[in-house]
Amino acid sequence: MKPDNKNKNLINEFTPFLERPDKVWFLKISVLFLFIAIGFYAFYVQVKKGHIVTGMRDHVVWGIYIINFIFFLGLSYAGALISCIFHLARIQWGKPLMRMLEMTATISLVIAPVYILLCIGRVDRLHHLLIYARIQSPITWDVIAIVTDLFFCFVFLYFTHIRDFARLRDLPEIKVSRWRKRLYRFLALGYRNTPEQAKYLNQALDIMAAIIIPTSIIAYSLLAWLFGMNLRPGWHSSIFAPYFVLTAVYSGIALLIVIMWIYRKVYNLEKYITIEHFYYLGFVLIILDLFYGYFTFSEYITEWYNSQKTPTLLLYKFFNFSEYGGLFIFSNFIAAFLPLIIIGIPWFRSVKSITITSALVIVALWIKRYLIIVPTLETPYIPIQDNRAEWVHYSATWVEWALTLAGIATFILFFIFSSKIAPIIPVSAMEDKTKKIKIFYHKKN
Amino acid sequence: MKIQIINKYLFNKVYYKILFILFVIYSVPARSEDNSKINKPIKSRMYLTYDKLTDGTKVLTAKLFTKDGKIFTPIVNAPVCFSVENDTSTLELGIISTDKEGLALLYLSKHYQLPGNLGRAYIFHAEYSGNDEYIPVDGQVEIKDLLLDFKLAEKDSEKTIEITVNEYSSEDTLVPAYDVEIYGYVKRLYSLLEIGVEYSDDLGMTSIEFPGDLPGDSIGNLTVIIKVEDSDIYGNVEKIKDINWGIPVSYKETKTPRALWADEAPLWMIIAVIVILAGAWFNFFLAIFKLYKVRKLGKIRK
Amino acid sequence: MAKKRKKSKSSRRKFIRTGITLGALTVTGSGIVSSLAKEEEQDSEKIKLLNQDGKLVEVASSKIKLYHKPAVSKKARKGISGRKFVMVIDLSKCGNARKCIDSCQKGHNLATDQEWIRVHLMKDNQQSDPYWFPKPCYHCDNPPCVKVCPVGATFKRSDNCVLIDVNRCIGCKFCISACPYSVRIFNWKDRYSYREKDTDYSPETSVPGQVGTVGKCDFCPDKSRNGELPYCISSCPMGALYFGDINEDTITNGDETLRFKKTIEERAGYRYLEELGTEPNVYYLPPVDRMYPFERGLKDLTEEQKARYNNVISKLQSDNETGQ
Repeated sequence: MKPDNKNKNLINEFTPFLERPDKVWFLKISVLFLFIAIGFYAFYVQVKKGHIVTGMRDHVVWGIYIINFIFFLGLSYAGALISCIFHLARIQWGKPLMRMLEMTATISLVIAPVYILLCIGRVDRLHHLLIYARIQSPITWDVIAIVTDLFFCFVFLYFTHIRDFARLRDLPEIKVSRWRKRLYRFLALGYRNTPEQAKYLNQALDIMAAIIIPTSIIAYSLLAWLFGMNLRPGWHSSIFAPYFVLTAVYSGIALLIVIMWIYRKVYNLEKYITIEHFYYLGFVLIILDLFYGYFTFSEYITEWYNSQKTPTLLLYKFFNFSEYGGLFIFSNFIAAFLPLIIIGIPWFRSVKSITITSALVIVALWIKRYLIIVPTLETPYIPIQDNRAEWVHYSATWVEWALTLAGIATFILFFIFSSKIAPIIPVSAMEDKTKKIKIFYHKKN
Repeated sequence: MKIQIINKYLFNKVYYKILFILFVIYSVPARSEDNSKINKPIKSRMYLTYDKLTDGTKVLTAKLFTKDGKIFTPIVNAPVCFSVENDTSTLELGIISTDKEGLALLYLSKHYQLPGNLGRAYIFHAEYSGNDEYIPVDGQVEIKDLLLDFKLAEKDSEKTIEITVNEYSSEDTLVPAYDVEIYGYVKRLYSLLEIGVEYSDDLGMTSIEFPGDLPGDSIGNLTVIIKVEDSDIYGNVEKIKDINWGIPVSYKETKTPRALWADEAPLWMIIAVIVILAGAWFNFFLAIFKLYKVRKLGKIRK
Repeated sequence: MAKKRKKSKSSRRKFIRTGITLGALTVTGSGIVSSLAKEEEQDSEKIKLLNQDGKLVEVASSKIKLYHKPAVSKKARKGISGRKFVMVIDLSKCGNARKCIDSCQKGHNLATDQEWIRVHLMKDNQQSDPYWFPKPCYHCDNPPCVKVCPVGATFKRSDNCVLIDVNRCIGCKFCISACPYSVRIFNWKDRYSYREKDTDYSPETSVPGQVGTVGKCDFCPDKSRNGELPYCISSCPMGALYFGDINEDTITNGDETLRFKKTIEERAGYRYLEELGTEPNVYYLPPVDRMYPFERGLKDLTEEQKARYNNVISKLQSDNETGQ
């Protein structure tokens, strides 16, 4: 099986990105490292002085750490889910996006658990989660789910790289250091693209993709239940798990659009990431936007209609501009209406507008998580009666913001690093255009 | 140069005047403060109580303390001298130091014969002689010996406690004590639960009805305490007996069920977790196995 | 001088650790005790003890109160046999004197901003009058906090207590958010009181605390072991707090001892937010026939403490204005 002549030089097109970086690249890296260093300092301060340096207090025990946790985990599960669906459904136009999705999935899955560790008062006792594990606790479920998913995502990511590693190994003219060549040789596992090898590799990929889809849905539902299992108005809702999964996919698609746009700009990929890609994903965004609006409306209308005491108190905080009114309107207008208007009406639709909408949706969905966590914790059954302002209202401190920025910096940094190791687009998969649709677990003829 | 300056100051009259004023200002108030501390001992106070325990032991308790506004402070490690007054003489019983709560307790065994007296009435004294810091104080109680006893009677499922109180006549014979206020209690973990109050009649008898619905321990045992409390004549007298009139409470700790809040999780939960994880990881290893085959084929070609 | 004091302190601790302490009786080795010795020898056992002067003396065992040590580690996860502790709070008596809070903080070595028992000002609806509402841990029979703990650091005992083992707690705060009554508090920073090394930690005493872990009202089972009432109960000047054992059907506030079931029945005792299904072990007696107006409870507060209750007081003022 030889690659198409048409795409023969595809790999050569992408190898320059893998070779020695320029000065601008190092500058970018140092800026990101600076943010990460500040994050480390903030972490040191938190360990040294205790959690008192954060904005978290006895009522709002979880702040933007857990919001970042939900946010990154959502991106991860969305990335995994979408890439596996693309893979199993053999969506041809989705091929160039696969690597971005898998990278998003894996990198954010590495970053997310760090935020939950920041929430924990005694990080030195993490081993207690193993030796005293209680299966009844949603935290234990989450630990199991995240560890499982981390394994699966890494392995799937590696599987999708094997062909590219084999191509890079067989490329004599590539200008990379010797250890990198050796690494490619090792990671390629002696893959020579024989029909038999291709069959086994495809089977392995199909199995992993098939198992990652339910795993990521379950894992993100478990995260939703982490909140849903609390006896708290605003959280204790059966809609929470599907709502979370949907929000995750929504934010994942939005992030994909943004990454696509950045890649297009930075690496000049107009040939592979076309306007159609933006339009297709834009339409997906509209569909998710409608679902999101539907879920959100149904969540609030049921709480509002029956007007139970504490949930009503919580709702009034959303409608009151001195409390969370501004954030509530901003986040829900953008997340539930903006894509419909900007992408839905052809006159507004363009690559730029779709990208800006997506970026705004990501911000809106982060704020949405804030609105799920903070106001709910500020509205317990017994109203908070405390004379210390910071005990009544949560506001994040510089420590928390520094660590949030450090997380985003790490996310970008890992993306940049990963683009140095393997092509940013699954080259071999793009080359391989002979097969149209393979049947999952097909029988031998 | 220096000497000149010193001389200038030393022989300046103003300087001496200032020095004198300073001396007066600083020394006088300080002295008066010291005086008040040394010369004014604190007033000490004492409560003396008398208890007759169930085994006939008599206990004299002297509580020694000071009072400042609403704050009571015990005087610790202070010797208190106990004595009993006879018709003719005073007999010293002993000296006991107060403990950290300011209490000095004197136990008089039932075998200990107090000096003979008409009708077995005694005047007990407790005396604290004081020291530089505390003013001496003493306490006194006048007590007539009371004999308290009770029987338990069960008639037609009605349970009653029949109480008899006697005292000594001037001829040293037992006579009924009448109009004595008697309390019935059941002992509980933290306190005594009152079950009734009665006055003794002319025969020195009375009865208290025992509630039928009172839980006891695991076999229904209870401790009943009959008491004469804070009597001006008899002091405190008590009699304690264990009875089996309580409703048995099952102490058997049933094994905690498998529950969300218990140590052991519900079975379905464990099974569900195992099934889901086994399913997921089976597929994972299947995929790894396929990869192993890829690698094997690559080696063969080499 | 300082050294000497330290030495005597540690020797006293050792003395307590031997498990025996002198109760009411103090032995001086002279006076009347010796005159009683003959009889005592016959009817009771003797125990050797150190008296306050450091001399070894013998005392009849019947005169000594045994000091029960609080249970530690694994033993603390089992309840005191045969006990089912319960608290009853008479809302008509509470006047926000804050004595329960003070004594609890003293007893558990807490700072003034750590309140394991809180007093809320409640106003149920527009027509009802405000009342003071002391809120300890409810020690639920179906505790949401215990359900969610990933390491079993908080646990339910057979004597109704829900306790925390801070040596196991990882500080994930899940229990704090799971508690619908907002009872649990987090040890946000290291405090001097956490460093007391002489005290053996027991979940029953909750002393010393640890930074980065969770703390809350523990029903003071270490005091119950010695037949003493919890700190808050014995310090309440109004006798508004009652404590007892359901198995004994008895509750007491220190002065008054009542039958538990009868009290709940006659005075319409209820549990707060019964509909949540948490099965609390703290009962409230409704604030009928109040002993004094609720404003009395604001009198002795500092301005800062008063500011806590602004949410209710401002509502009252606005209601009054609209009423007029």
